[in-house]
This record gives sequence, structure tokens and C-alpha cells, in this order.
Amino acid sequence: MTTSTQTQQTGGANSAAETVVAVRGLSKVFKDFWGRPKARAVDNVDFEVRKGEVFGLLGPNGSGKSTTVKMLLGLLNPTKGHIEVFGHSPRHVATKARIGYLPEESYLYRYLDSAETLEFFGNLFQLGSSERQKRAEQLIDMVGLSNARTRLVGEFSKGMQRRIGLAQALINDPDLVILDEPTAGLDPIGCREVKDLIVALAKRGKTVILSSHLLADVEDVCDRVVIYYGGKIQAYGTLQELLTNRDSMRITTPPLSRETTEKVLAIIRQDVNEDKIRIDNPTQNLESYFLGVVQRARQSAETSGATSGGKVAAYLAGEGEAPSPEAQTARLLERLTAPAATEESASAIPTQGTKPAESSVDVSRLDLLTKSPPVSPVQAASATTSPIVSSPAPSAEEVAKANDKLSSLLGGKK
Amino acid sequence: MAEGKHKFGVFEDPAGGFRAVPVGFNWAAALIPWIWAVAKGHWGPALVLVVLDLILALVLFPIADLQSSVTVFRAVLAVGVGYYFGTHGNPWQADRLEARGFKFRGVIEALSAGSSVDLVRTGNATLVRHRALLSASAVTLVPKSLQPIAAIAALTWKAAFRFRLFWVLLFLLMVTVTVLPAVIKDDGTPRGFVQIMLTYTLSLMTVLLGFSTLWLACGTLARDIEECQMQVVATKPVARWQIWMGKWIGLSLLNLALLSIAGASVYFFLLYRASGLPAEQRAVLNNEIFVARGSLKEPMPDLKGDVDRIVAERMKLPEVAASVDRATLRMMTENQIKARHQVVMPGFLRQWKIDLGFLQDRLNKEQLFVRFKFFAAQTNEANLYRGVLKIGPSETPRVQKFDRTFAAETFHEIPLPMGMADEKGVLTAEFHNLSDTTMIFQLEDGYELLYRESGFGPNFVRGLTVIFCWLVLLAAVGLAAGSFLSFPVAALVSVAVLLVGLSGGTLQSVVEEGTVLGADHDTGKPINKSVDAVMVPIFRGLLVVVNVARDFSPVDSLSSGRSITWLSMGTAVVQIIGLAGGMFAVVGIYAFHRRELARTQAAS
Repeated sequence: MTTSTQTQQTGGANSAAETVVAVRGLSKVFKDFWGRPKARAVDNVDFEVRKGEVFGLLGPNGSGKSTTVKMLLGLLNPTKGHIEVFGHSPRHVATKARIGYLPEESYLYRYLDSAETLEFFGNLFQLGSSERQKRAEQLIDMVGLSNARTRLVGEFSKGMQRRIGLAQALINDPDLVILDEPTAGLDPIGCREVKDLIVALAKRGKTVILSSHLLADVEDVCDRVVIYYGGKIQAYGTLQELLTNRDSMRITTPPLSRETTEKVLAIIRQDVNEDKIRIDNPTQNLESYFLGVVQRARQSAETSGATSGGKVAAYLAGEGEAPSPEAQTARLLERLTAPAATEESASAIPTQGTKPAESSVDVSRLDLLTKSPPVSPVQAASATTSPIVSSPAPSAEEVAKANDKLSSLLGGKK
Repeated sequence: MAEGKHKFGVFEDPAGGFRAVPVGFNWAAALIPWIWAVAKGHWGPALVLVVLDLILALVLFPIADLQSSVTVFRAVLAVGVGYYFGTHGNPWQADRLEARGFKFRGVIEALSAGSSVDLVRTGNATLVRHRALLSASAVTLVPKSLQPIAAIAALTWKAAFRFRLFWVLLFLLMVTVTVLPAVIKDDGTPRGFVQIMLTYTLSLMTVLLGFSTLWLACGTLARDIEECQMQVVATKPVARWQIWMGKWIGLSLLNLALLSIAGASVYFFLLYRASGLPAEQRAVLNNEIFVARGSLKEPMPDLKGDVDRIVAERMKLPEVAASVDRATLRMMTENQIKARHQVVMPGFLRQWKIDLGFLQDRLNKEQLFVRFKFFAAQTNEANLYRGVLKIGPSETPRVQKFDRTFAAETFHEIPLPMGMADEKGVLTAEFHNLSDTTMIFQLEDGYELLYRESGFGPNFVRGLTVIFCWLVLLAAVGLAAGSFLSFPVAALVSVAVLLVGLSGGTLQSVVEEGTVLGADHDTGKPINKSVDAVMVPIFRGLLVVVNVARDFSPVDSLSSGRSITWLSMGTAVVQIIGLAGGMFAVVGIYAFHRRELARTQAAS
């Protein structure tokens, strides 16, 4: 499938939304001193980013993601093609007041401390002194550097540098946030917080462009992604379109008795061959497990490093305006019940990459599964979440539960 | 903010009632600092001010030679103190209230302090609980549009302090000021000591600050680009030219601070040393060095007109036209005509007539100095040559006659009694060569009349201003190189530009002689005409640029007590900063604007 075709197909759903970034026929060729082409970093790329979406640039190292980001920011000039950010050239100075940028490394002044760093960047946005200081305080608290306010950035660990880098990217309450590998160097708690922040920004109608090669980052927060390889877009679309495996189905329930399980299997075997059925215990991901362990440990120990960030800075969360429950519900519902993609717009990603490993039903294993094993509190919490069925829409109670969890993560509703 | 309204921080008295403190700059504290401090009960700052003023008034001011300088210093100090008190006044007030147990309630917009309190008392107020508004760092006089430039300039300062560069440079400058007098050799006279001291310290300060400026200027931009901090800065709403100008202003202000501290140290050190000298030696210094003297010279003869006429006549002769080209003939003719004005053969005399013009009335009532220097065509062992100098209206008793031996290649200064000019305001002098060798009095500095124009203090400030202009130019050179080159290459190119600037003499002689590789001794013709055809115009162009900055010699002027006029200083500012600096700034900003800031890293 060609890139242009994808653009047309995926652009249909939200065509009414304001285009924040438009990229057409973008190419970048790096040349040597004598003007001879050395590397084609980006090759004839087209995509659009719309207001309020979290857009992922995904790809292996050297695939052209960062080069694209730097052209969007006016730090590199395109060899060919056209870029518009908020309807202007990337070099348009006034437009930059609406953009926040976190580079892939800590490119901050090592001789400034956290507060001075934010003060400096606040001045570049011509913020008044009171606003500057207020935002700096909230951001430092948000990224968990309250204990390191007067330490020089040069003395920070990599993770702490990412945190202050993130803070500077948000000092202007940007409409467009461009994050290049935002979770690189962060501990799992920091990663979670960054992802929560991205979601919070999107809830306020901010547009986020996330460049990453960490698939989990992108999968957790992005609405749409492009996948780069060799400077070209290999796939482009919503995660729902790209990831849904329409060839199989998963039913999750609380532990069932052996008899019940046998009955269910018998019914399924009427329609499906034995070798196509797989049954196992769902596992939570390592991130959730880790966060649970640290959450418990935090109650009994202290640390001198970066602490877990506070809640999202008030001005970023809408200056005290609590996100409306309707908006939260709508967003969650949208995520859980997004319309199934048509065959034509399905992903160009090979399906076997996302399929669970196939295995036939093993009777001894079935014995093991039908016994209720002892579980940890975190597992228990995870296990008691509502059963997820892939096809039908979730019940209102399920949505409310998930919505509460999301709200507590964002610090919006406690 | 609504029209006419101001921000006030409101504090609640635990015993009842409210007090309001204005937010922002406190003009009363700035204009009458110690009176304000006493009135408001800030005894600490008031005490510091009083002690400082007492030291100036009771210790330094009574020293007669320091009076004008102390006055200037107090004026400068008043500006600094005023700004400090203006920014800190209201925060001090707020801190003091809190120390007395008042509780901060918040900041409110109101027409006056009283109405702000009323609003809070009646509960009709929306208070912003942001105490940091009443901190000194929140007070600024910088307009909003200049905020990004000021932030970048301040960043340059912060880097200089955090990397201890400021202190290292200051230490080196202080070593220059304090150690040099102990190690340099002079002619044993106070005048010689002061002249050498001024020359060496000011020159060394210029060189030290010049190289550090080039280094810093190349580094601050090139390294910001190489280390990628610029990628973050350039994505903020600040134009590239603003970044460039911010760096330029920051570096220039840094130089201004260092130059001011070092210059003030030199100045007070010299005056302090002079204050311990006997009265007559002090008088010599006050007349000849610690003064700003104007200079009057004979008008320069119209060499060009004479040369053009004679060359045209000679070229009409076929044998001349056949044997020598026009440029060579012109050079030879010019030297011959110049020699007529400069050379005094043994037994001959040279006369100078200097018109005092509109200064006649004033200068007839002042002591004047004659200053002259000559070269001997054939030097003797002692390098002393006899001559008679007669100054004043001839055939009158007022004429001054000096019959003695004079050293060649040395400036001689002779004080004259008042009223030496004739009734037309012309002061005539004659030098009769009684030695056995030819004497050469150059047109530029062979003979001149010096008179007091103003005091040493203002002249010293003007001299330092010209040096400051050079440093600003060097900052522009370094930044321009750093705008498109990597740090080491930029440093190399900047030093090369500096060397071209310093080799103005070589450029001058190439342009005057019209040849780069020189002329054949036998024929007098250039060795390689094609090289000269290309290089001489280039050198001529370079010389024009270099002379924009080199036309000023503040160190020479200060060490010889010559006046650097306000006009001359203004010209230096316009020429050096405006023209030369501006040219480098345009080149640098253009290169920086065009540069792909993420190129290095992206390419790697």
C-alpha cells in the first residue's frame, strides 16, 4: 500500500479536525562538503497531524524519525517537499510560541539549575515574572525534581535530565508538543508518568507528536502512528487499524471450574479445530507489576534521587478546571470501542507479528489452569478487573472503573 | 493590567489590620536610597551606604588629585546603588513585615495601597497567592520585547561566573595592574613611570581581554551549536538575530564590567602613587600626563596637488616616460616633495607657524607646551644634536630661545610662558640646525603645540571607551566566525582576522609602495606586476576596513596626556561598533540564520 493512499484512507475519519502539521513530499538528503549526496535520511514522506491527537513516529534507529522532527522544528531544511506547522513555515518565529519540544538527549545548559533553566526558557517565551515562577514551581513539582531544585543540570542523572527537559518543553503550555524519545533514560515510574502526561495533554486538546522506537510507549498513548524504515513510511494509520488481529478472539473470565471450562471448550470445538484453540492465564505486563511493587515500597522507604512526580501542573491541566467526566468517558469509550477497520484500510504490518503463540490445548495444563493459584495483591487487583471481551462494547460499570483509574493517574479526580 | 492600577502584596497583621506593599520597582528607594532606607527602618542597607559614602568623603575626597575622580566614581556608584535599592526595596518591605509576624494574603490589583487594603478588608478582592512576585528577581526594568535578548545576554554572564572565567580574568587583570609596576623599567622619573605604567597596563589589559573575548565569542555560539543546546533555544519563539545579538550584548557587557574594574584600579593606583610625590613632580604630572591636552599643528601641505602637477610635467618628457612607469614616478616624486617639508640640513632652519584660531584668547592666557621630535640622518654615539629653538614673536623681548643639544628620536616637551602668540594669533617657532647632520622633522608628529583641554578622569573614561569599542568588535568577529564554523576553526579564523588587523602597518606600506613583493633595486620596478595587480587592491580594501578600527590610539593618547575628545570617542563608537562591528554582525547573523542547527548531530 502506498503512503499517499494511506493518507487519503486514514484522513477520512477526522477530516473536519484542524490540521496542525502537514507534511507533503518531504525528503532530506545529507550531503558532504562538496555537495555530493551522502545519505537520504527521509524519502518522500507525507502525513498530517490533527489537533488533539497523539501521533507516533515509530521506527528503528536511523530510520528518519528524528530528522523528520528536526525539519518540523526548522532545525534542518528539507531538501524537497513542504512542511506547515499551524499553517506556517517551521521557521516562523511566532508559531514557535505554540510548540514545546523535548529533544532525544538532554540539550540543556549544564551550568544552570532546574529553576534557572525554566526561568531562562520562560524568558524566551516572554512570560511575566510571576507566571514564569508559578509555572516553574508547578513543573518542577510535576516532574519530581522538587528535591533537586538548586542542583546544576550537569550534575543530574540521565533520567533527571529527561525530567527537567520535559519541564522546559511544557513551560509555555504548548498547543503542539513534540517529544523525541521522551522515556529514554527514565525509570518505569517516570515512563508511566510521562505517558500519563501525554494522555493528559491530549485530553486538553493539545497535539502531541511522539517519536520513539519503544513500541510500548507508542502503543500506550498514540492515536495514530507512522512507521518509518529507511527514511520511508512503511505503515500509517490508527493503532486500532494496525494492531487488531481479526483472525482470532480472546475471552477473559475469572477462574472457572474444570467442568465449566470443558463445556466451553466443547462448544468451541464444534466450530474451531483443536489446534486453533489456546487457553492460558492472562498475565499483567511488567510495568504494572513494577509500579505496584514500588507503590508499596514507597510507603516505607525514602530516596534522595528523583521522586515520583506530583500531579500534572495546574496550568497544563487547565488551571484547576477538572476534566469533565463526560469527556473522560467519551475518550475511554472511543479507545475501547473504536469502529473496526475495514479490510482495505488494515495495516501493512504482517499479522503474525502480533499473533499470540499458537498452542493446542494440553489436558494437564488445563488441570493447572482450572485450579485457583495463590496471587499477589497486585495480581489480584489486576485479575479483578472486568473481563474483557474483544467484540462487544464494555458495560457502563466497566467504563466507569477504567475511567476512575485514568483520572487518578492524571491527578485530575481523586 | 487595568489602566492606572498597580499590583500590591497584601499582608495581614495578626493583631488586626492589613498592610500593602507595591509590587515592582521602587523609585523612591532608587532615587534617595539611604533616606528611604532610614525612613523605612532598613538599618542594615542604610548603614552600608553611609559607611561607603564616609570612606569616599572623608578618606579619598580630601586627596586633592582624587576629588574629580571620586566625584565621577560616586556618580557611577549612585546609579548602581539606585538600581539595587529599586529592585530590592519592595521585597525588603515584604520580608520585614513577615519577620514581624504579618501573614501574606496575596497580590491584588488596585489603584493605590489604601484601596488594595480596603478591597481585601471588604472581601471584594481576587487575591493571587504568589509570594514570589515580591522577590527581587521578579523585578525588572527590561521591556517585554527585549526579554529574550536580555535572557540570552544574562546566560552569557551566568556561564562566565559558573565556569569561574570572570574571576580568573579579573585576577589576571589585577595581577597586571599590581605586578607590572614592580617589574617594569622606566627612566627613573615619575613622568616616565606613569607613562610606561599606563602604556603597559592598558595594552596588556586590551590584549588579555581581546583574546579572551575572541575565545569566548567563538565558543559561546559554536559550542552551543555543537553541544546542541542551540537546538532547544532555536525552537523557542526567539529569532536567530535575537540569539546572536543577545550573545553579543552579553559578551560586551562582560567586557565592560571587567574593563571598568581593571581601569578603575589602574586609575586610582596611579593617582594614589602620584599623591605621595613632591609638589613640583606632581605639577609636572598634572601638566603633562594627568591631563587631556589638545594639539595644534601646522596645516598639512597639499602634497597631492603638488605631486600630481610635477608628475604630469615629468611624464611629458619622453626619456622619463620611457624609463619609469607612472606609479613609480609618483612614489618617488611624493618622497621628494615630502623631504622638502621635513628635512633640515646642517646650518639651515625650519619654521612653523601655528594659527591659534578661535582659541587665541583662551590659549594666550594658558600655559602651552611645545612638543617635537626629530630623526638624525647620521647618528652619533651620544645621539645628541645641537640646535636652537626660538618660539614667539621674533624681534620682541617675548621670544623664547632654547640653545642646547637635543636627543634624536625622542619627544621633547618645552613649557612656554603665557601670551606667546602675535596679535594675529599665530605662534611662530624656528629650529636652527647647528649639528653636522641633517635632521628630519616628520609632518605627522615633528612639531606641535599642546594645550589643556580637560581633566584626566573624563579623558581616561573616553580612552577606556575606545578600548571597549575594540572589544565589542572582537566579540562580533568571534561570533561571526562561530556562526558558521566549528569552535577550533572559528578560533583560528578569528585570530587570523586579528593578526590582519594588527598588521595594519604592513598593509599600509604595501599600499603606499604599490607592490607586495617589492621593487628591483636596480631598476626600481616591481618584481612581479601580475601579483601586485591582484594583491594591492585586496590589501587596499583590507586597509580601509582595518583603518576603521585602527584610526584610534587611546593608549598613546592617555600616556602622553593627549585629549581624546568626545567627538573622537563618538566617532570610534560609530566606526568601530557601528561600521566594523555591524559588518561582522550582518555576516554572522546571516550565516547563523542560514545554518542548519541540527546538522552536525543529524549527519553523524
